[in-house]
Amino acid sequence: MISFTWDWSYAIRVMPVLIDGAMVTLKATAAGTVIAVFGGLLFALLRRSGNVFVSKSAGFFVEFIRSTPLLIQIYFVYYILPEFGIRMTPFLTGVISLGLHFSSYMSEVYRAGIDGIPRGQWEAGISLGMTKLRIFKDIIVPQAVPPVIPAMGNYVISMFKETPQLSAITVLEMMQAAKIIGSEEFRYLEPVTMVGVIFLALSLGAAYCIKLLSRKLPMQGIPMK
Amino acid sequence: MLPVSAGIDRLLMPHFLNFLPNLLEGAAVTVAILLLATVLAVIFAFAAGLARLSGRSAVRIPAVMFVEFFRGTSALVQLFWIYFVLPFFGIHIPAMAAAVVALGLNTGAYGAEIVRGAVLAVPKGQYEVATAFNFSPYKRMRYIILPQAIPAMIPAFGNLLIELLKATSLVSLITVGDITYKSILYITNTMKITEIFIVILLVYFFLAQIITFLMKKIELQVTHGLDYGGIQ
Amino acid sequence: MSKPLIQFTDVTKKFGDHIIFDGFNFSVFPQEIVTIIGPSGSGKSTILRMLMTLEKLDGGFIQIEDEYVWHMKKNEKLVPASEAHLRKMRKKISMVFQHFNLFPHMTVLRNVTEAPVHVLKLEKEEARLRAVELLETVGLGDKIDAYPAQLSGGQKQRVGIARALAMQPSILLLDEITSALDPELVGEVLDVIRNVAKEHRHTMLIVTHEMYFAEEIADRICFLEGGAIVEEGAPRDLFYNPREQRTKDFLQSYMSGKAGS
Repeated sequence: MISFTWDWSYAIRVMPVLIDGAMVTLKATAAGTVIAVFGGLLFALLRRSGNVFVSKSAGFFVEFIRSTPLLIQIYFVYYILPEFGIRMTPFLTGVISLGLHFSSYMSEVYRAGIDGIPRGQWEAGISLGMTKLRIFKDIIVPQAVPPVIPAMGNYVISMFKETPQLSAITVLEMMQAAKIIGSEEFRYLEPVTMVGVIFLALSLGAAYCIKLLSRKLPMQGIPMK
Repeated sequence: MLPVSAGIDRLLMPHFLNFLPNLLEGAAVTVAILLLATVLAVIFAFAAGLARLSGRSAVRIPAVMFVEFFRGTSALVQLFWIYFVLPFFGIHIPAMAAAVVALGLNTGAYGAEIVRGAVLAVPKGQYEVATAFNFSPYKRMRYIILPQAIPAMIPAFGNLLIELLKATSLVSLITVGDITYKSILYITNTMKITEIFIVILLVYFFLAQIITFLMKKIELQVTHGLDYGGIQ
Repeated sequence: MSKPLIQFTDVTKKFGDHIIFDGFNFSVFPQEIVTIIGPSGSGKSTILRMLMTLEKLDGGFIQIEDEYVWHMKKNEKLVPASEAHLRKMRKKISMVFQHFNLFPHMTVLRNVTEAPVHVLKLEKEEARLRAVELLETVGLGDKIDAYPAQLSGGQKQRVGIARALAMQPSILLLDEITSALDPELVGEVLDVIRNVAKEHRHTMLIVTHEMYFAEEIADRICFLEGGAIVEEGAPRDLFYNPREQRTKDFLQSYMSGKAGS
């Protein structure tokens, strides 16, 4: 019978491997976030396009990604890219799928943020003769950002928590590291639990940071002197 | 153009027919997990959601911990924990049960927030009426508050169930034979990538539409006769 | 009689199935101060908004001097205006809005300097000097570093007026600029407009419910109903000797409403 008491020496022994995995997890989250932030903005702008074909296609693409499992999308990109002759590391493949998946959520956040700005702000800019680009850049975006930060931050935290799905395509993130180490001595309790605790601690910590950040930004918009 | 498309037909059809039995087995598993986890999720959502509103710390604090724990870690981490770690405590449950429990609890934690939010949105005046008419807290919740809170919960629960549907794909990683498991197995054997992916994406999309449809029906049923224009 | 500065010719405007204007004609002469009055939904604000290029035309033309606002001349033919052409036409016009539309994330000073710097390409210092002078003229010299959220409605609207004047337009549009203000704050805004009107440098189109004020500063009053000018004339004539029955009815219902308040 295997005892179910916590083995601290074992836990400390496996820590370095878990930390390595955590680094991979964090890198994947960071890279995925970059893709999601810019990809989401791209989708949001495409959906606002005057060209009906463009906006409807972008809309359909976003809806499709949001409605299907991330795991399937990860597998899909992993299997489909080599068919086109593109060879990438599993990490890069995973990051692209992650980023693409969450850019669809981000595009909704951007859209809500931009639509939330009263029409009068556009009209004031137009009446003063500003170009659409300048109105967007100096009037609309600074006002859209503060309400959008909490939503974006929460999606980044979600992305962080979904990184273990990358283990399906052999990315050595935290959870995969725990499973491998656990299988070596056939003792999963400590590694898997510790990974769970790390996830919990980091996501609660990040959620708190987001709350602080959104409190610091004034609701009306990023101040411009 | 025509000969090529005819060729694709000949490639596509047999493989789809080959895949069909696997797909149906996988779909049965996916739907079973979905239904069982939903039942579990609804129970925990109401239990934890209402517990979080309780004045008594002994009731409230465990509920808060439950919700924060299951929302702070991902479904996959919970799945792995139940599948890999519980055996160490002498608890051996089959993968399928682990899947249902993990997903049910995870979804239930998010559902608890929906329940809590909807109950808090019921106007304070309703509580005052209940007091005036001498309702006990239980009766007040059962006959006055909850019936008004439930319509507001339906859309959010609909979205949650679609998230649950997507999460069922994760059980393939603990060897449960759902749609994802069966399709990846089939792909690694036959390398018929694009066709199979298109099929399973359509299957998930179709299941999501069914969920949306059912939730709309439930919403109509629950708001029958009510002055309900959509809460936003 | 000089030539009109602003000319609406045969203008048609629909909102969905609802026709606001059908073959609408309207002229404004240089440095004329015209006030448009009429019931809600008659299209008063729409006239200003079509001129300011905030609403598209469904038919007809609008001209400022000899240039078309919504059209361009291309090889002797008239084609719909490009964005660049619209921007060029907007340079001559400034608008003050009913709901102020100040930029909430910028200081009062920056609200007034933003467009002069980026659109008129003024040097920052020159724009600043112009803005400070204008803000002092409207009585907000001590608020230049404040944010809109810290101002009262009357103060916000005065910033809006300064912001519009900073562009040195030849045409000034005032779209119900006191309608959203608490009664006690209306006076300070009207005082500013009174001073602007006194200089008579701008051509002004004013939509307002403030009848006494309209009588005081307008050269011409137009009564608009159902998408057409029912009657127009000097304030004294229109208010005290209206010729049309509909004008009489409107003034009467307006007066009795006012008497009740």
